Amino acid sequence: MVATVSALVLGLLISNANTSFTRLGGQVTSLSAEILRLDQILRQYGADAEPARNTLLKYAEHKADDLFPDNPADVRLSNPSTYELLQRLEDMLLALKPATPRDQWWLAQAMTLAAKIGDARWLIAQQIGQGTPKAFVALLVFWLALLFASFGLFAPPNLTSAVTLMLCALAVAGAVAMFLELEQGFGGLVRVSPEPMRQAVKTLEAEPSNQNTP
Amino acid sequence: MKCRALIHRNQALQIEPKRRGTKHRSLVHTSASIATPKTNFVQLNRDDADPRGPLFVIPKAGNPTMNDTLIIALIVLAALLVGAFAGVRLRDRLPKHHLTRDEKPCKRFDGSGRYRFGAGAWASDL
Repeated sequence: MVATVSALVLGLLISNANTSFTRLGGQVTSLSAEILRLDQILRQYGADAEPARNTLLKYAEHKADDLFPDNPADVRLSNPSTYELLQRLEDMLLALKPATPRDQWWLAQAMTLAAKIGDARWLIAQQIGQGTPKAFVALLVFWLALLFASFGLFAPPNLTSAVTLMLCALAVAGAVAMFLELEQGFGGLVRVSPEPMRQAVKTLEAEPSNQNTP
Repeated sequence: MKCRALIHRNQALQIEPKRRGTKHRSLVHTSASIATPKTNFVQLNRDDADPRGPLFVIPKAGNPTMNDTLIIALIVLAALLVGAFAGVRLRDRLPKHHLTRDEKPCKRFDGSGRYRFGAGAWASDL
């Protein structure tokens, strides 16, 4: 029974961690898409929005560096200076004075997207670290240790049994490590793909400044 | 309404002690603990001279690294091996009649069309 419960719990934990990992990846992709869309809208707005576009580019660069640094230990999900850039961008948008209804519409869209980017930032920051309680992991390890004790108790004392037990222990420890990695999302062995954010930064850098006003 | 009540309560906690004295000392303490909770938060101040306090707080998400996971995985591995080793040691110490249950066969038919072998046959009964 302990074996069945342990297998079920371990499977459910991996499945749950995989779901949250996938959701986190989706949020990063959404964030990059919203950044790109906001930049496009600001281009449509015209030359008045150029400073805001530059700030958006800086924000995207900082955000990509925060989420996906070269050293995984340097991940900063809630870097205050990066968030200040977003706030500055919002202030710049608020300072714009749309002359026509068209500009007004673009500005409203831009404000909505900026708010969404802020939401995504907080969502990503808040989700991390809310994984499986450590006490639960400890209980699971206790069950598994009990299970392996029973294996050791009844397995024939030979090399084959010892090697098999060692391999089983490695497999179970690997499964525990895997769901812990998946829960973390950023940094470590398994991490959310940085490609959407990096692609967004590249696109923003490649986009020429818009000089034509509508 | 609830929020309003809470805000009102906090305001009362901050203002009333100055007028009423000792009765609300504990409330002052409570107010302080509400204002600066001991949690994993970073406070961003508006300005050092600004009396309005922190502009907002950002939760420290920590820096998840592979080392943490690796260490936990190693601990799990060690726990499992220790468990298995403890089982082996226990087998040496236990009387034989505790380990044999009516001459439990090494190979047995589990009723679903398959044979179970050795430790697997016993483990399935655990």
